[in-house]
Amino acid sequence: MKRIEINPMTRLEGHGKITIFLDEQGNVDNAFFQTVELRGYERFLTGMPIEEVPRTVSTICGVCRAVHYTASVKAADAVYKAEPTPTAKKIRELFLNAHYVEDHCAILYALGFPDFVVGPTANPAARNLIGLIEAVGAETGRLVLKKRYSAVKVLEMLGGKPIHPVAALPGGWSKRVTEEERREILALSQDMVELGQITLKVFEDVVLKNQAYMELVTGDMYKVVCNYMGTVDEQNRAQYYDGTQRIIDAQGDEIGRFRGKEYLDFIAERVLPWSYLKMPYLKKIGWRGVVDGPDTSLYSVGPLARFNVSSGMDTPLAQEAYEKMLAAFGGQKPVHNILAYHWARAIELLNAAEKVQQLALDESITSPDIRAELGMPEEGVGIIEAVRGTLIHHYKTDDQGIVQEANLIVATTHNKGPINVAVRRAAEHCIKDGNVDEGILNMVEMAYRPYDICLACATHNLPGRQPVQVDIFNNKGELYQSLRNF
Amino acid sequence: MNTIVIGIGNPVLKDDSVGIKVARQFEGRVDTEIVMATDFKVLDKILGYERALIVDGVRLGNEPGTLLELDADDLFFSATFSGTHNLSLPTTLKIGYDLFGGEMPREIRIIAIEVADTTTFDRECTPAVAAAIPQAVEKVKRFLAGQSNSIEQRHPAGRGERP
Repeated sequence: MKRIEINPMTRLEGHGKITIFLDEQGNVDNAFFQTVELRGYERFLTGMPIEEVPRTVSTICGVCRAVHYTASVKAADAVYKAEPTPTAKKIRELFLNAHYVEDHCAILYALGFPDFVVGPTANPAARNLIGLIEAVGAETGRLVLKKRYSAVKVLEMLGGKPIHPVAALPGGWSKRVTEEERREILALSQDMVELGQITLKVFEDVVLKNQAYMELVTGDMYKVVCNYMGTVDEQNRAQYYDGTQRIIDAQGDEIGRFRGKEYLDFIAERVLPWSYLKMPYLKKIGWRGVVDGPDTSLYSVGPLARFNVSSGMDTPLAQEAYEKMLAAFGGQKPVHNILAYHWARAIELLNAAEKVQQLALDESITSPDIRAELGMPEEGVGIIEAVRGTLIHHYKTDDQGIVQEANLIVATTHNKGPINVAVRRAAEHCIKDGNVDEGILNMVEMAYRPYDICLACATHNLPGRQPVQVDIFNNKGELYQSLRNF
Repeated sequence: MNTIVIGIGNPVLKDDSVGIKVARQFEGRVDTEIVMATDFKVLDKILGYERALIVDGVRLGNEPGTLLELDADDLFFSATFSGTHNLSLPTTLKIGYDLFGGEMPREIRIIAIEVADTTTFDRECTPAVAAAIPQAVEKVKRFLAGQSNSIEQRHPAGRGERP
C-alpha cells in the first residue's frame, strides 16, 4: 500500500497533516486530515478566577479573539446565574457583529476569493491575495481594506483594547457607549454595509457570471452530504450572539434544538486511533463512521450550516442575497456544496454590517444600565456562533469562582468529519491508478479552505494558503515524487 | 518623526511572547501596539507612521535567542524567512506598499528573535530567549534614537547575533 502525505510546514500554533492511503490498484483507499491543536488551554484555565477567563481565552487565536471572548463571557454569565442587561447584550452583539465584518472580509479576500478570481488552476504563486489584488485592481483592494478598517475601529471603541478586549464582565459590559460613540459607529456602519455590497458584487461578477466556476460550486466534486448545526431565533432566522441551536439532518428535517448544557445530549465525541483529536458526531443518530450521505452522523457548522438551518436572515439586504443564493440551488436546502460556504460567508458579512447599523441606530444602546447582579458561581455554558461555526465554552467553578474544569468545542472540531470527507473526495478525483495529478495540492486545499480551518490562529493567516507538501512513496517506502506549493 | 513599535506574538505561549515583552518596555515612551497575528491588523497599526519597528519571534534554525535585524526588503528577498506566524508578514507588508504606498512608513525595521518553545503554556520565555530581551530592547532604543546599524552591520553573514 502506498502512502501519500500532504504535510504543511509545522506551524507554531498548530499544524495539520493530510495522509492519503492508496489501494493495490493505486486508487484512494482512504484519506485523513489530522490536526494538532492547542487543547492545553482548558488545563491552562483551571485554577483561574472566572473573571480572568474571557481575557485569557481571547489569546487562543489572534484572528478569533472576539468570538472566544464573547462565548467565554456568556459562560461566565451562566456561572454567576446572571442575566446581562438589555444594553449589555446590545453592546456585545454590536461587538460580535463588527468582528464578523472584519473576519469574514479577511477570510474571503485572503482565502476564498483567490481560488475564483485568480482561477482555480492558476499558478500557486499568483493564486493568493496579491494575485487577487492584481486581478480586481488596486482601487478595489484599497476600498475593501479601508472599509474593513471601519469594523476594526468599532471593535477598538467597544472592546477597550483591540487585541485583548477587556470590557466584558460577567453579567454585563464595563464600558458604556456614549452618544458620541454611537453616532460614530453609525457613520462607520455605512462603510461596512458598502463593504458587504461590494463583496457580494465581486462574488457575482467573478463566480456567478462564470459558468465554469458555477459548475465547480454546484457540482459533485466539492459536495459533502451531512447534517448541520447553527443558531436561530424564534423565526428560525440565523443568529450569531444568542438564540437556540438547531440541528437538521441531511434531508433538511429537524433533529432537535438545544440551549446551554443540553449540548451534551446532542454531541458525542469519538476517539479515533489515527487522529490527535476526537471526532464529534450526533449522539441521537449514533456513530456511523467517517462517511457522508443521508444516514451519516457527521455534522457541519459555519456559514453554510447557518444558511441551511435557518429560514433566512434578519436584515433586508442580506435576506435578498439569501434568497438569490437559495434560487441558484433550485430553492432546495440543505445545500451540500461546500464551495457555497464562501457565498454564505459573503451574505453574512452584509448581514453583520446591517446589524451593526441597526444596533447603532438604537439610541437605547447608550444607557448606563450595563451591569447585572451576580449570583453564586457554579457552572455555566456559553454558546455563540463564531465566524467559523458554533462555539461552546463550558466551565465549572468552585464557590469562589475559581475554574475547576473547562471544556471548549470549536468550529474546526465540529467540522472535522466533513473536512475528512471533503479531502478524501478531492484526493479520489486527483489520483487514478497510481497516477497523481499535480493539481492535488490545489484541489485538496480547495476542499478544506471553505471550512476556514482554525488550528489556533496559524492556519488561516495571510498569505492565505497553507504551505502544503505532497510526498509520494512507492511500495518499498522510497520517495519517488514530491510536490509542494511553497 | 512619528514612530510606532509593534510587538507580535501570543502572551501565554512561552517564547511566542518575546516580541510582546520587548515592545511593552516602550509603552508610554512611544506609540506601541501589540498584535497576535501578522495579517491586516499590522497594516491597521502602521499606516500613517513614518517609521515602524516590529519585534517578533522567528524560527530560522539559529540558536535560540539569536537576534536578526531586518528591513522590509529583506523579507521580500528572503524566501526561507519563516516567522512564528508563517510567511504572512512579508505578504502583509507587500500589500501595504502595493495599495497604500504613500501611507506606509518610509522605514520599517523588524527585530526577529529566534525562539525555542512556542507551544508550552507559560507567560515566561525560555532562558536563552529571555536573555536576548535586553539586547533586543537596546536595538529598539538605537532605532528610536536614529542610531540603527546598516544592513551589513546588522546581519553580516545572515545568521544574526547571539546575546
